[in-house]
Amino acid sequence: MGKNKSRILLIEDDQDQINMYQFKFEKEGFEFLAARNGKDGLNMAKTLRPDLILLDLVLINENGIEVMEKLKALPETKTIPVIILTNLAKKTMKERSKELGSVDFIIKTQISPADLVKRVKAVLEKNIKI
Amino acid sequence: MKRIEASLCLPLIIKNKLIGIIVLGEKISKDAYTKEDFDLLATLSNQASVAIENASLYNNMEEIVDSQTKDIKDKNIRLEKLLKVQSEFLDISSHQLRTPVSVIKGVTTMMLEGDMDNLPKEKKNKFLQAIADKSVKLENIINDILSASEFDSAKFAIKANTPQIPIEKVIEDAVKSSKLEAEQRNIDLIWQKPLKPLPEIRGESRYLEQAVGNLISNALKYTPSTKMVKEARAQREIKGVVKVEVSKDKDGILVKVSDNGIGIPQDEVKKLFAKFARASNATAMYTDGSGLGLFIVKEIIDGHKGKVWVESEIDKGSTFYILLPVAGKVDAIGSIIKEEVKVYNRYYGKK
Repeated sequence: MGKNKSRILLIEDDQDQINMYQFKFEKEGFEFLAARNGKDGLNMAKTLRPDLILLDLVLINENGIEVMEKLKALPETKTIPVIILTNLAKKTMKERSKELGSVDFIIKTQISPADLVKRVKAVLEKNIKI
Repeated sequence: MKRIEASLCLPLIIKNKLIGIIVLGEKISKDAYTKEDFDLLATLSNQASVAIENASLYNNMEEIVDSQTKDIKDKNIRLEKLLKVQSEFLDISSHQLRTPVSVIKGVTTMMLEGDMDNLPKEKKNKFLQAIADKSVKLENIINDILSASEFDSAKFAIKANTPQIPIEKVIEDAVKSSKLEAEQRNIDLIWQKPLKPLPEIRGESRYLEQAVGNLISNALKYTPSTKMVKEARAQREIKGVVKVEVSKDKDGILVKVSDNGIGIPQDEVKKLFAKFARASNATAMYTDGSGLGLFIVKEIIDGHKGKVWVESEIDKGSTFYILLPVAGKVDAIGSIIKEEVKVYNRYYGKK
């Protein structure tokens, strides 16, 4: 039941980063959506109900943690698993995102696109089992 | 109160100072004091003097230690603040450096894994262009971080033997270096050459070119290639423009870099020239670039004994100004100081 393709939403402000992940995820059979700021990201999450959200911490003029707080406050989006995908290796941010219920905290330079896809698949499989 | 009649007084002396007296009354036996008594009492009074002196030194020492402890605590607080600033600098810089690297790594990994083997050439080239662009960005960020560190450790300042240079050429070079970026962003970059030749200024051309270049780069970054403006009851689309001009002002040479971009909120203008301006929270970090551009501009212009400031209006645009003293003026101040020293020495100094 439901769609055959898993739907991923990336909230990230760098277009080159978006293009790169879009290419990989679509090649691996995912439906891939991208939002370049928090407001668009929240709207897309509410209306399109992705199966997983990849969230950057440093967005233009806003903080990914604030976006995550809003995602977890809305009934339509609070159950969507969120993986923090960022280059900001700050312990305080990692802890805060964990408090808010993020499923993982990944530094972009430390993971290849292929490995990111594997992690996403693992999270989705775990979710389905529940 | 019983009146005591002194029979014997022993001075307490330390380091030739009288610090007290031991007063003894009559012996209970009413006998006179003997020589043995004197010897014993002399020893006692010596020991007492030393003990009293030591106690007083100890008290003083406690005060000295207290004040030194406070001094160390203050220095520690300052050091902690500096370390925190340094740690934030490293946090932000490492994030800015990782940003282009993650694209370079990701795309090259996918290419090597064969993901792009069957892509049409045009799509492959778009990814190669992304690698090329991010490599340039990475180099720029590294240069900015090095510049900012350089100014942190040794402030730049012009000296008596700093050469005189024509400012027009410096600006023209800065504009030329930014031409490609302006084309890529589809923004008109206009260099308005001065009509008459300008007096020379004292300065380092590579630094001044860097400063003007940073202002142009910022203007390009924060100006959209097109925007809609309201005119009468209609909306019109206008093109993004960055204009660079230089002129002789009554106070010196005035360089202007103006744009019709997004503008700067009034409350942020004051803090603009600090490192990572607005970056005390992660939300306002420059996601594209080093965040050090304006800090570097201020260091350079301060070192040239000039001034830099901005006038801006939200959604209308910004104009950055650099004012540099004309070479003669700086020399004039220097020679006036020399004259004053001569006069001072004539009247008050050694002959």
